[in-house]
Amino acid sequence: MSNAREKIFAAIARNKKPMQDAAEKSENLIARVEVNTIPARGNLSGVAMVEEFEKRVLASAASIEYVSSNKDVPEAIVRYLAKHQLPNVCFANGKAGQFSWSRVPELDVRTTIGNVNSPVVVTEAFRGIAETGSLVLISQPGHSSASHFLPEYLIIILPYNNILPSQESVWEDVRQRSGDIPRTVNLVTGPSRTGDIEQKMVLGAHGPRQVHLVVVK
Amino acid sequence: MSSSCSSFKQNAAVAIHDPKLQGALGKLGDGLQARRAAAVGQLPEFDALRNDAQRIKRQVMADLDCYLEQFESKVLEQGGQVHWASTADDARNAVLDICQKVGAKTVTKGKSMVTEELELNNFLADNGIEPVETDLGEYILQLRKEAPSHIVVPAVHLQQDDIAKTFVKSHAQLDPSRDLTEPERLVGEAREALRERFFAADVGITGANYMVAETGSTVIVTNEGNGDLTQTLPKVHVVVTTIERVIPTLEDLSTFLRLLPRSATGQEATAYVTLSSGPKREDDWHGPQEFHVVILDGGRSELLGSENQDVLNCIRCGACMNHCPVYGAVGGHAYGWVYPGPIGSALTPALIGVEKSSALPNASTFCGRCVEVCPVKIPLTDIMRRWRVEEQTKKLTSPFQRAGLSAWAWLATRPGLYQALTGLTAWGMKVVGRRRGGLTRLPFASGWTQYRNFPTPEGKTFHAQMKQKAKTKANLGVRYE
Repeated sequence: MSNAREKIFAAIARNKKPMQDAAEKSENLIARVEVNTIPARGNLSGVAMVEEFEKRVLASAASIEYVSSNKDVPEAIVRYLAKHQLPNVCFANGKAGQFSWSRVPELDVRTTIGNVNSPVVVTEAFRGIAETGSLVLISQPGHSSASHFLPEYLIIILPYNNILPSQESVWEDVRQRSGDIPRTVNLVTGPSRTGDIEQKMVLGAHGPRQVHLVVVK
Repeated sequence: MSSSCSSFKQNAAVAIHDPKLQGALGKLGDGLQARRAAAVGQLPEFDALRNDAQRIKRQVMADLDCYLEQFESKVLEQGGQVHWASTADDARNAVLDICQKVGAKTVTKGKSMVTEELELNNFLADNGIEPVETDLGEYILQLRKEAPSHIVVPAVHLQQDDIAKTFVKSHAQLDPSRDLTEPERLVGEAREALRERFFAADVGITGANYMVAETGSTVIVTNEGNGDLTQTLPKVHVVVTTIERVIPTLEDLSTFLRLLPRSATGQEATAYVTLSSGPKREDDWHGPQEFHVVILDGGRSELLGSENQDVLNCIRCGACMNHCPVYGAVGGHAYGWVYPGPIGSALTPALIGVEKSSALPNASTFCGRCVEVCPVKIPLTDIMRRWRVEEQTKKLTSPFQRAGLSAWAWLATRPGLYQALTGLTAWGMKVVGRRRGGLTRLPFASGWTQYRNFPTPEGKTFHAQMKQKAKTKANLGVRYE
């Protein structure tokens, strides 16, 4: 296949038409040459940003609630399960296993890899994006990326301060982490869906039918 | 993939008389077109983003080798592998080799038009490996042994009852009299049928909407979640993509992520965007142990630096076909190769040769709606026009047609004669048309008059009317600036 590599690169070198200031650009390939447009709705801050976030989350057919501290997360999960008449069982993904689950002894919280294929999964988001109402989920040690796509119900926990205006602000934070970009970065905007049958939107194609967001203030 | 582009006219004639197909295509206006218009209308910066996207793409194409090298080195650094494929054969063999090394029996697949270009499913099956399409539309088509007719909504040519029939036939273990009248039931049934296939697969193959050079990430933009199950559950993830899909940075990705879903399905964001970088890290619970990126050229490098280079900017949103009156009338299969609609008509001649596909650039009215909606501003009609010129210069058209065009050119470059002759023709048509109440037959225009009458000209040609108006206005003291 190295032969193919040579062929392709030779063809590109032969045919490409460099831009006028190419020398400057090729030395500095990755550095931002020009800043791209960020829409006004991705440039908000403070309350306006959080309002935009909530609006977009709801528009994506996900649901949202706020709790005042991490301690309140387990009760919020129990309430959600009761509201949807679901059994008191869930898989808590990675760090979500560390919430004070003992506060809700009626809830069977599973945290081992054998339980990733549970109907209800609770997971923590890395960031939220106000512009689109998207949640950013990243792969981490002791954490299952597949569990974001397997359940019927996906419950995502997000610290209030991790709501950011735009994707661009998330990329900044991704670069701030040590080491390479995580193997998997998922931007999740609402439940799984498909328009493959007569262009009609149907929720719950292969991934979660419902996405619920718990924002911790 | 073998092509039947040269049969476009026959294919189109059949398609126009297919009531089921016409019913399905008739939904594009209220469906994808209307949704795009609504989404674009809600983003005032949409045009600024289009300009950015065009600039980014042109910048990449000007230094494509550098960006590809950067991408490759980041993939290798993170423990992934890159396989270069000059031809479709190279790419097929690279994928097969990866599958055979891990003794793969079944392969799940996310939606990928490049693998259609490779006819990868047939190739894998011939080599004893079972491919399983997992995107709902692609799954339906695999059961029906059909090709996609659209690059985003592959089964857009089907109606719900077609799909219900296919499921009754294919899911034979289920009660044949079950209720499949709601789309939710069909979706649920496919979800059930495919769930175990995800867990059983040895290799997962996806495409890539983008390769990010900065991070060595491949990116898929999806709604169903099948692509994610395809690439996180098996022990091997193979990405099949093409050289022009590389973009510089994560910020550039964000620009495209604002344009693609709005243009494709009228969504502000798709349910899922996933960046995959290398194999899983040591303590990650899920993710592949091997990460391979197969990068196909397949004729694209020859477009670089050419007049038609901008066709490489395409982000495969499908807006051009959703808005094309020709696509809307005949559907995607009539085009006869992987990429239908205006983008197909502009791209296919470059990839399989204008000799085999010259019918496609002619399958356009040049109304220009495709250019208006293209998120990366590809001059699709200009590119199609250039393929028509090449068709003419390579003498691929009939001698009769070439003689006709030469005669026209001779006449059109002699204004005096041209105006006299057209004036006479217009007068003649008026006289004949008035007598018959519309023209039912015209020499050289049976293609038109076979289906409808030719409107009777008002009498004078445009040139003659302009001259007369100028004279009148000059008399009134008005001057044309």
